Amino acid sequence: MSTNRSPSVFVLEDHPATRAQLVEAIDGTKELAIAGSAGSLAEASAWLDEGNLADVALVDLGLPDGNGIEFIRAIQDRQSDTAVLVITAFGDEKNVVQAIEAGATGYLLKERDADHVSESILTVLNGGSPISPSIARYLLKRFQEPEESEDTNKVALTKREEEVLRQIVKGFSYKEIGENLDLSVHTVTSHIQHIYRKLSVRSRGEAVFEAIQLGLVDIR
Amino acid sequence: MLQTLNRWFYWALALTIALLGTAWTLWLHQIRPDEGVIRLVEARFVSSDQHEPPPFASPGSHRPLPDDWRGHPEHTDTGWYLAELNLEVAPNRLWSIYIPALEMTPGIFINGTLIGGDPAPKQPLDRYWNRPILFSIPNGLLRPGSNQIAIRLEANGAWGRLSELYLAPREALEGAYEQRFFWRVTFLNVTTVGSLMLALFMGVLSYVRRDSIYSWFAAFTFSWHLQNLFFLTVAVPYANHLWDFTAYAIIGLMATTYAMFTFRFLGIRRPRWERFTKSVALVGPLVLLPLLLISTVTFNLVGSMIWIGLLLALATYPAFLIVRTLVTQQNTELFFLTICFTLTFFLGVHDWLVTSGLGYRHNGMLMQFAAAPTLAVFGAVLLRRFVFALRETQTLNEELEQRVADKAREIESSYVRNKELENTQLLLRERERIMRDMHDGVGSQLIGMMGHLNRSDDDRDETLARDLEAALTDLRLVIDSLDDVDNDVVVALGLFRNRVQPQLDAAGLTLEWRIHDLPPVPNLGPERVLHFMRILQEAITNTVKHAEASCIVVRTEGERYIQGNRCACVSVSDDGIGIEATHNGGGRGLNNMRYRAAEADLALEVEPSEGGGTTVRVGFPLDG
Repeated sequence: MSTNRSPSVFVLEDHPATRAQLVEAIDGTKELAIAGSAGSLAEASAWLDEGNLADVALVDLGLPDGNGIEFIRAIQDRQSDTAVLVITAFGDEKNVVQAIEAGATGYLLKERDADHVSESILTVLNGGSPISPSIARYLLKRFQEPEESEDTNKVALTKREEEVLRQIVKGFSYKEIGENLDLSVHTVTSHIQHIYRKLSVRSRGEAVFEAIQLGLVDIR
Repeated sequence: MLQTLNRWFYWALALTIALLGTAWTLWLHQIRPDEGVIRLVEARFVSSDQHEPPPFASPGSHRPLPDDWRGHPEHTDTGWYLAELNLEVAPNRLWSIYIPALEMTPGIFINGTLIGGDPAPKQPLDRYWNRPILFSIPNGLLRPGSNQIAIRLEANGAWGRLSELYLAPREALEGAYEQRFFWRVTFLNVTTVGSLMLALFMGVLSYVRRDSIYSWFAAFTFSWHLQNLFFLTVAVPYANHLWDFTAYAIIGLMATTYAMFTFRFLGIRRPRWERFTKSVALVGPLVLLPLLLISTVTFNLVGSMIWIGLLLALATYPAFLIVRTLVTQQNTELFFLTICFTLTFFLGVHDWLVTSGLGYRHNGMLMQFAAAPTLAVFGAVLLRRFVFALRETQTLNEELEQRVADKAREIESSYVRNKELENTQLLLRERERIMRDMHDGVGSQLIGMMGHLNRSDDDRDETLARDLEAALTDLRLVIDSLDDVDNDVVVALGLFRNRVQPQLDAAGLTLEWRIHDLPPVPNLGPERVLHFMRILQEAITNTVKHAEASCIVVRTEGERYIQGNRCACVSVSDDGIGIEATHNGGGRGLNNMRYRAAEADLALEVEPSEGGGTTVRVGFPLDG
């Protein structure tokens, strides 16, 4: 991310009114700039193929011509430092976790008021990672499952990370967690980032393990 | 207590008891008629096979009684004993002659008159060798002065013998005769029948248990039963020397089955010994048989001295193993078995000495007296083992039944768990389907509509947008309630806060979140969770709309009794004007909450907060 220009944001959302609202909100924030927008996976892919770049991508998953996760993977392959936020109506763990596994940094809840959109993007750019209790709960369960691959053995949660997730499950905010566990908000945030990264690593490890099991990858 | 005794003392005690048993068996054969009975202890022997008594003055050799032909130089099969009885007066009542032992077939004459037996026996000879003889002397036959007693004896293979003779009024002899008859015949009869029954019983057990220990014991008992028949049979079905051959073969069988059983009983494997013993039992009689072609004397000498001696030596090894085990293990079963085996061994040695011509013959064979205690003790020991095994089987069966029942219960509960899991999976799939529909359908539409309305300047659209937002929030609560909260109210609270925080932020209200763990609540399904969330939502909406509050506190209160029920409690308090002061006193919102609480089987309390404001308390009954 360049320091002498406003961070650029790309929006992939199929609903025109929502897309317009998001673009408008971002455009209206002087710290942010619009890098582009698309209403379908094909348009987004074309935008990417043209060699365009963005610091942040807002991605809706349910697209008319495919799943937004494909775009997340593509943009991560091309530009691994692009922060990706999934646009979701409900913040449910199913979609969000899939996206995080594909490399997303967090999620953005669709709200009536679009003011919070810019705020959320700036938080992410400053190292924040949004998480909901249901996602936290899913992550706790996921990391408690026995691992199938020896390679992913090291990808386990630390005690502190587990504590942070448990606090989130109980509905505490980052600030309250900081007070409860005697940590700074920044530390809590970076714990969440670590957890997301571990999930991504673990998912990749499991995918490789599965591929080996299926004979798709030759390890000799 | 026996276990604590010194092990050698233990063995010595068994030895002593066996010795006493042997002594007692010998003593039984020393019983003689009372005083006043005439006892003849000498006679003249005339070697002759005539069927009538020889003249009393015939030349013969002087023989003290008891007399054993094996000491004779003549080697004869038939001979006459001539003895003189002097009476002062003629008896005035019935007299008898009592002969404790003889061999083999007698014919008895008094003063030239036959009073008993057969002076012209046919082959095969009747065998009186194991029973006493008491013949009455007809009245008038005995006279004052000298009376001539002539006893013809015929025995194959120069094997004859005659004990001392007793003459007296019949009643004076009956006691001694009957006693000897009891031990030599009646007791042996009982033992023989008993051993046959025991053999059959053990045969059945061996079939039931499929255990060779029982089969070998059945074979041992049965061979002893057959052996006893040789003592009891008077009229033999075939030639005497072949009869003797059969007896030798059966003694071989006895020794082998005894050895095999003992090895099994002690759990000792001696395959080479076993093979050797079995071979000896088979080959031995086959070696004896050709000797009959040489002479019955040779046959009997080799049979009784070498064959029986060899079997006795073979039987010594298993007996030694039992004694050795007794010395090391000192168990009660082995103690009694040692007594019986030692007794059998001593009596066996006695019999061997007798048949070898080295011992005193006139007590007869004694080993059969060991049969009763030995078979009884062995039978009891095996029966005890069988009963123990039965009990053990019964216990095992009971344990097995218990395990099967436990397993059945486990499977049943596993089935229930699987069913629950299946239901949960179904619920999750259904939830996913609803979520998909929401994303692609209703949710997307709602968000899109809000987007449109937000960009409109019409006030009516603003109201519509607010309603849409409320609908979206409720939809999110519905979706959250579908989450499996694992019976944990705190998880539901976490989900709830995530949804309600934006509303409070927008209203400028502070939320204090004082949450701690709560005990698990039974049956906390999606419906109850949704009712619970909606009650909280109602309480918060009331506060936002009517209470004029600045702060809301949501707290867990642990276990508390509400309306008499032990409950896990959550409360929502505000610092507003209090429910009574609001324009409708809680009104429709309160009724909604009560309705939902009743629907979800929740306890509900609405009361003024300390220091003002309202507290809504929701309780989850913990006792089902």
